[in-house]
Amino acid sequence: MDNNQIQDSVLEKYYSTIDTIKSKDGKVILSFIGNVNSDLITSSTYLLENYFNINFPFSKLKNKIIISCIEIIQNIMENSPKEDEIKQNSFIVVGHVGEDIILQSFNLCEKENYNRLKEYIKDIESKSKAKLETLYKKNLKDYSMSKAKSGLGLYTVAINSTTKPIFEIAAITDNYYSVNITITIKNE
Amino acid sequence: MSKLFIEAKRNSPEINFDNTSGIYTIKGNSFQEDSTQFYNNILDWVEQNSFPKTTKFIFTLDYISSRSVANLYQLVEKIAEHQKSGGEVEIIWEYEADEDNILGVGEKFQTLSGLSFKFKEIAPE
Repeated sequence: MDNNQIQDSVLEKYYSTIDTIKSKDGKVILSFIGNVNSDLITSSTYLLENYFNINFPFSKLKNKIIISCIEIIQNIMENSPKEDEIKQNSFIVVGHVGEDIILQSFNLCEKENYNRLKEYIKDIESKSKAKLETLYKKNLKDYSMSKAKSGLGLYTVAINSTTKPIFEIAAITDNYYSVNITITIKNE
Repeated sequence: MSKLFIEAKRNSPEINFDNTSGIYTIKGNSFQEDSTQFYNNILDWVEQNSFPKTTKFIFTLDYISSRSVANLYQLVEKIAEHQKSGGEVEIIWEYEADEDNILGVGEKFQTLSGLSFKFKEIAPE
């Protein structure tokens, strides 16, 4: 697959994600495709805060969604390849379907990080929320001693998600693979 | 230098540390990209300007990324060290009623550090 084909396939996935939300009579609150950077965090936070203040005042939903969105964007920023042409194949969509808020992200990663990420995700998928909370605390303590990567981001996302998060990893080319994360947070 | 003041930005908190009064406040969002550098600068200041015997720390955080949580915890450990060496420490952790995440972060800090936190619910802004 060359760069143009990668772009076409990512665009197709992006619009299909949006269409799926709309087909369930849902609303797209936020959608972005392109080079994900820290400006996106600031603008997304502002936009989501306004949306939830109006539609879900005094709900615990707002904080969970915004924090998850921050973590997912930072995760994309940390793991995406350096080349701009490849990096721009990232997207994030936040949709509102009934009482559910669905947050979906997509990005490409270099093959050399595949095994590390696969293990990390497998670990998250196999654990209950209570176990993830314990692991979160352990990593927090370890980080303060070693200053190694804390790895708390996806734990936070998984803890905030009402249902089990869905992680899909697939090979795109010989050098890159795609990471697709979907979480659902219910208004409880 | 007995004071450290850093103005808040949309993605980073206001820091107001005053060694003369012994009152230290951190207020706002913390999801800056350079979180480690941001908190390292604060930790450096703490290293160079020892806390006075009696101290009061007030945390009023809004949205905080996990990276900032990890960095901020290092400051909490410095506070715990101060207490262990005879300092008097009061920690007030403010949170809005609908912010489970912020309350949860404070509770984790309390458990891990062994410090006693006073949790205070505040009205949403």
